[in-house]
Amino acid sequence: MTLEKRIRSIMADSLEVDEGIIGDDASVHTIARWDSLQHLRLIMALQEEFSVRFQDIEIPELVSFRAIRDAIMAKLALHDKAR
Amino acid sequence: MTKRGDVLLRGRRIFLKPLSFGDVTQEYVSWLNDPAVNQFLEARFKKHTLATQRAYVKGFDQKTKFLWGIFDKKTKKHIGIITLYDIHPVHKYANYGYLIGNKKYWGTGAVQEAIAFVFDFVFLKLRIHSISTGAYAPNVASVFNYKKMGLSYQGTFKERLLYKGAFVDQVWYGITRDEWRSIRKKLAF
Repeated sequence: MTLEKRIRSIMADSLEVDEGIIGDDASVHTIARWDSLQHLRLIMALQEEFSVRFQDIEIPELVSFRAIRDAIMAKLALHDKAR
Repeated sequence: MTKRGDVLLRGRRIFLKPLSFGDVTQEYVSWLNDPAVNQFLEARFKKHTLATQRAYVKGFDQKTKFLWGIFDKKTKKHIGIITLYDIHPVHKYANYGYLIGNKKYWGTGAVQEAIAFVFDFVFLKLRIHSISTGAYAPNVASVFNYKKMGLSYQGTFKERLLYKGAFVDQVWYGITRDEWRSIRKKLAF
């Protein structure tokens, strides 16, 4: 499964929405259900799935599919570099 | 002119009305003394009673400082408060704060609806130019709500607030009238 597909799947599960609506432009403004509690659930699921850790200051910035994808890619790249 | 008791705004799930003494109940007082609710509020440094909360309510004249109760539209249950203060007559800025005391309503979007209505009031009725709010940096749920409502990051006061024995940053977010006009169209309430 591609990274993007994995993110879409986690977003759909955490936000309790159909995966089909997690398009490239999906954000807190296109998904009404995406509330603060769902957001925290989503962050925990992403951290577990990708074995990454987000700082407090990063968490509220992850408010769109693109922001999440870019942040995960950056974290995984850093992780690979460190190995 | 808005008078106490008048319902200001009705939404899909909630309505707002200026808080009156009659709304100051033991349940309301208990929110302010609840560590889960007040963990990021200055309210946690004091013990609250019916008398202290009545005095708090009295401090809002609903002309220069506003305090609204957030009520469930269906059950009419009081679930939280939202405030508007520091309204500057020249620079036309203001600050706001909120509290959802009834934990059953956390994560329901009720606070976002309340904020949207207050922003409509601020920008359309009061003709305020910008509105801001600050949060303890570890309060990621609140900061998330700012982002969801279209506020952008304004700045950080480094290690300004004491939280769980350590000094933490205070982050500020804000939005202008034009920015709100654009974001408002995207919101479903």
